Amino acid sequence: MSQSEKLSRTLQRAIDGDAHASEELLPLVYDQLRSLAKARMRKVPPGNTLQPTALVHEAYLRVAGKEEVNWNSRGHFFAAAAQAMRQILVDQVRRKRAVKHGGDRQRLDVDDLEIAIQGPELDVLALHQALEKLEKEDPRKAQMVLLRYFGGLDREETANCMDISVRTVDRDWRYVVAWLHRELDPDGPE
Amino acid sequence: MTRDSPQSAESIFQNALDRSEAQRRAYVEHACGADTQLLAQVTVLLDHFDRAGTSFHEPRGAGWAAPEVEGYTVGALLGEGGMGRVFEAQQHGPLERRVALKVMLVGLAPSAVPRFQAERRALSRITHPYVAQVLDAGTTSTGEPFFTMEYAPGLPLPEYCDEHELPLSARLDVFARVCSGVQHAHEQGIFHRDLKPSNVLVMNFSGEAVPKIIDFGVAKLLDDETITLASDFIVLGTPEYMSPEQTKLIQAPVDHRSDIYSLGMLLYELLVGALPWDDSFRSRSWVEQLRIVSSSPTTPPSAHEVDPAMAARRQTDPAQLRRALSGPLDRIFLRATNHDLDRRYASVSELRNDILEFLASPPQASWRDRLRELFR
Repeated sequence: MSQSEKLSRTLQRAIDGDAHASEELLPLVYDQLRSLAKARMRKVPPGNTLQPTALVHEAYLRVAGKEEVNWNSRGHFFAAAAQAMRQILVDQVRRKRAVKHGGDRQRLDVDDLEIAIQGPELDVLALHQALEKLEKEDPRKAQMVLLRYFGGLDREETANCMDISVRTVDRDWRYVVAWLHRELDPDGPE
Repeated sequence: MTRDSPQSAESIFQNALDRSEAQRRAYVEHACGADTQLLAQVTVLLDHFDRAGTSFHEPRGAGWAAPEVEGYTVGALLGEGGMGRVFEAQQHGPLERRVALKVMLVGLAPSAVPRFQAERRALSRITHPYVAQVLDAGTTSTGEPFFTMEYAPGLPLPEYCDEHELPLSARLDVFARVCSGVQHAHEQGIFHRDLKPSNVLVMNFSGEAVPKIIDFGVAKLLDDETITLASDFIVLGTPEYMSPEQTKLIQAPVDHRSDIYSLGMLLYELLVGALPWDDSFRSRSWVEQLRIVSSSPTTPPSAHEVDPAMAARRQTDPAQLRRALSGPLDRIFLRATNHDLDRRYASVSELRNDILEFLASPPQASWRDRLRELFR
């Protein structure tokens, strides 16, 4: 069974309510995103970066194929894919730091990917840590951040995926904006 | 958010944001009462909300800070899209002027800067009254490419038409002007690639509707070799106005005829106030929207339901509107949006000529009367 087939089947089991399948989904999506990113990296000149949300959407396109898929299954996929992408980005940063500190001057091996959330000064680790904190305090908002930042979903897609109204997403997001800015801003008032 | 009062701090924060800025302070103080700790929490949250500006609002590929650009004072955010954000800005030299400054949400490899500049020079050669002039380009202090263009505070084309309750003839007249702007750029070998309402702004000059097409050729600036992203990931524009070939789900060249398709969609929206997609379109994922765009042939405007309110916004009644829509306008739309590139209009001027011809010989007497009224 190919990687994609396995992923499709696991996704279907997760949609059908199989709790084990949900757990299996994450590593499968993780692998798929990585191999997709690797394939893409070969096509771009060195020093370039890939856009994580585009990767997630492409991965989705592959799994869903040309069939119509309802939001229930999309939600499962994007939740897993966003979590996987977060892990990939965090791993990437940690590995880079390890290379820097380890005195290993070799070029990073071929396995290394250049995926970056676009924009200056985004500290993936800081975001990751803030998100861990938010997950404990307010899991719903944490899920929202995950889907929007790492899954690349817009407000309507996020609402559909979480089965809440767009209005709720917008209201919650105002709070998320303030909360994240407070967490990630070292100079701000405490 | 602390453990003892997370709900209340959050709900006061939310309620405060629902009020006007003038009322906010008084409300927060009232709601927190004697609880100074709560007051401090809410104040900090509101402060961070204000200072965050728009940096967290659209996380899809979003940057995190307002741009700093040498020689400009960057002001309010005017809008944002998949490719970048547009700010109002004041240029300080060589001219002191107000401009629209667009920052791209993509990286630019240093080796690509000359090409970016060359493209920008090509764009600045488009001088047409209905196309916003590209003025300057470069990179921000954090390295993202930006360019500036003529500041054009207008309403998106369909909104303008509805707001001014323009009759069909006046809508078509503005549309023909838009066509002439697009045509001019095409003649310089530049096509837009992302024509949609937010890129066609209309201003009112002494009662005359003057369109300004913005972002001309921006998509080109983001072409494969210029930009550091894997270009096959960037699917430009909202799928609603995107031509089937631009979805990349079908094999066909993307050229100036993609603009003609997008113009067709704009025309449809001007005529009936909606797009030919059904209601479920917007709730679908981006990927599914692309699939629909690439595979479903468009349906004619006369097939769209006509209601009295919509007719009233066009200063007519449903029966007349229905009559006006069928016939030449149906054919014009279907030809502009034909999935078969060989059957689509070969040039914008052909499309524009058909519109002008329609305007010159409207199908009914009542139409002629209305036109006479309009031009009296």
